[in-house]
Amino acid sequence: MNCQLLKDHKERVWQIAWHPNGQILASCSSDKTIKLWQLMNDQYKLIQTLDDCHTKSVRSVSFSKDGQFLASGGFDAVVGVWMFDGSKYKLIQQLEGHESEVKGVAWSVDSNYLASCGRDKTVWIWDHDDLEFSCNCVLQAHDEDVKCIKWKDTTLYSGSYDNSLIRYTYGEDDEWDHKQFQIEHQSTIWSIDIFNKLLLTTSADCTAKLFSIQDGTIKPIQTLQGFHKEPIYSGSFSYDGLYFALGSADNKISIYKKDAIDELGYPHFALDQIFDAFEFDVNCVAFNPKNYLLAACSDDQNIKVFDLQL
Amino acid sequence: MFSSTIKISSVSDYIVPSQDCIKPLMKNVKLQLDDPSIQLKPNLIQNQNNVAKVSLQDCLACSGCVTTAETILIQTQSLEEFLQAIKKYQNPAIGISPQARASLSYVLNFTDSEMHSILQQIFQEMNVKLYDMTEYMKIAINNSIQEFKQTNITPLLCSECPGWVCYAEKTLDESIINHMSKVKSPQQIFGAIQKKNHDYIATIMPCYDKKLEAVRQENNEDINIVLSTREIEQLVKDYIQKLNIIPKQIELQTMAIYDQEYHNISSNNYVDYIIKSVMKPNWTVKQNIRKNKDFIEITIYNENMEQQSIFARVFGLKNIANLISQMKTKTCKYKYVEIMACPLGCLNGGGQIQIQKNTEKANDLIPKLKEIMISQKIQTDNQYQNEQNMYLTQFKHIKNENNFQW
Repeated sequence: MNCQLLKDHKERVWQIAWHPNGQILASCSSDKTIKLWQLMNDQYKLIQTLDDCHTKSVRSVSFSKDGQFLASGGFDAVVGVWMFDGSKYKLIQQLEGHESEVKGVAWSVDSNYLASCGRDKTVWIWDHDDLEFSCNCVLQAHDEDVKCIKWKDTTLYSGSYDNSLIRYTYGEDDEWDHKQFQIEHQSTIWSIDIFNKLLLTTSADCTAKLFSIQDGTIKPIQTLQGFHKEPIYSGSFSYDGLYFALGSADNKISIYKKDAIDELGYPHFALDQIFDAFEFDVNCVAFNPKNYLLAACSDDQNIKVFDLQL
Repeated sequence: MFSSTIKISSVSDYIVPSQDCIKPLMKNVKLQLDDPSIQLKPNLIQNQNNVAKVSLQDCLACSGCVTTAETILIQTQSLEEFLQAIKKYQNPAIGISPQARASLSYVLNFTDSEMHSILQQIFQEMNVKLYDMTEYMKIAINNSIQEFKQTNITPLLCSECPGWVCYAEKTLDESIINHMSKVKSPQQIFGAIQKKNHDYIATIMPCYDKKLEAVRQENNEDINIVLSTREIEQLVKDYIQKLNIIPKQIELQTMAIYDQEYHNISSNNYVDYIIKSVMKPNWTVKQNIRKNKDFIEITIYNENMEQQSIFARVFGLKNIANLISQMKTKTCKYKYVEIMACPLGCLNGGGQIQIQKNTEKANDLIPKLKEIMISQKIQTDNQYQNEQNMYLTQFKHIKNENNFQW
């Protein structure tokens, strides 16, 4: 399989995130920077290094759905917000409030809300007025470090070291309600990804689980286990929901293909391939929003874009 | 229980063996842990009689112990602890905050005056003298006005809320901490004044955070113990039944002012009194919602409708974060800010008797508690007087050097 190596970070790369146009990839690292890579003539070129925001590791990075904003979360407890000014991404604000390391950042589909989560066990929701961001809500629902957050439209999900999943919805009395789900992971939930009514969690218990999130419920559909013997740090659906990828501490990436639909209409996935991806832990995997290119990053300081030819 | 600001700044969830306990019983634990052949034995800290002592203060200053400050606090400032202590002391006293009393009155279905009379009788039975906090709130307010008149610091931040204080000291640096009012809280003023008359002093407060305030080094144990409203609820119910108490109508004073639209008695009207001290004849006041109902701006206009100064009332962690953000970007135009950790203020404190979430929401309950707080009270003469005695404290940034985890 074809694979491009994107090498420039000086320390472990924590996350990568695709721009909605599928042409630009953002990566963030313990080297305190965010790098933007653009596909030019079938090659990824480094086009920007954002080093003016964080004073410690950058743990998470995410583009808004329209590509206008980029957000980052750092171990310095800061959430950075950049805006595209026509040619470059420029830092417009540093949001403070988290008391310790920020582990995840995510934009709601309409870019009205930015969520951040962290070791202080909280999820912060930020909104903006005239490009000025301020805190809308601080949610203290988890009992431990919150590792990941993901929006489905304007509903938010978070996963934590407390092994639970929590869903947040905006209520009529101007407050965010939440509901906790014990989804039978035996350990930390490291990542959440969502495709339509399908929710994927990956965990330190070496499994990934699929759930249906129709009708306000969270219904387990399938558990993928036995493929990785170490924590699964990241999961990502392909743009069409036909595949998903998992990245693990065992340095491998596994790919799963939808191979059936059961009598209730729920999909079933089976292993398509599994391969060694890096020298060390795979921290993040992310399918391109437009094709079957898979970006991944590792503790070995590298980023790779795999042309999976699915 | 504790406010969101305390919960967010509490002790690390990941205990790293290499972190030193502030009173290490075992030195060099990290080096020894890797070697299974070494038997760990505590080498007691240098102390007479080979007795190791760790005080609550030590624990709160440290961030690497096996249990959180919250747990320690709850154990040492419990109702049981209070009941044991009052047997040992000759002359104990207890002060009750108006918010705590209103919560009890609401749940037990008495007027506030009746409730105070009942509590007086209950505590008398235990040989404890009950105080109303109004007199001490008056000193706190007067001191605040005096400090405000004399200061150059803008904004001046009310520091009566220990939830806010704890958050500020742990997460903010000196540039913000220097804005905090140094006036002691009514609880601490009560302790400072009454300690010459009583050998054990307790308070009943609407939150758990006040327990943290009582153990601060600067406060010299003037207050021995803080109980939250909810912790004494059952005791009060039991005694009412046991002693067959008949409530008397007594006259209670109040510092609560509520004649203007912007007045909010939930947290003792600090900003309202500051504004009052600044107002001149024919001046007007307008309030507006800055971001939500817990972030209110109050603007003073002179007789020509020219803006004179702006004040703010900020409740809840999310709004505190927004205020700090304004201060850090130097866009904060307020002269004084009443900051409280709990949304809706002290009436909604984490120690108040818990309302049933499905039958009554905080938004509905708080106005009822306000009614109780102000009904049948005599307005204290709250004209500002130049108090001779200033009851002051201090704050400092607490360095927090935890190892992080992935």
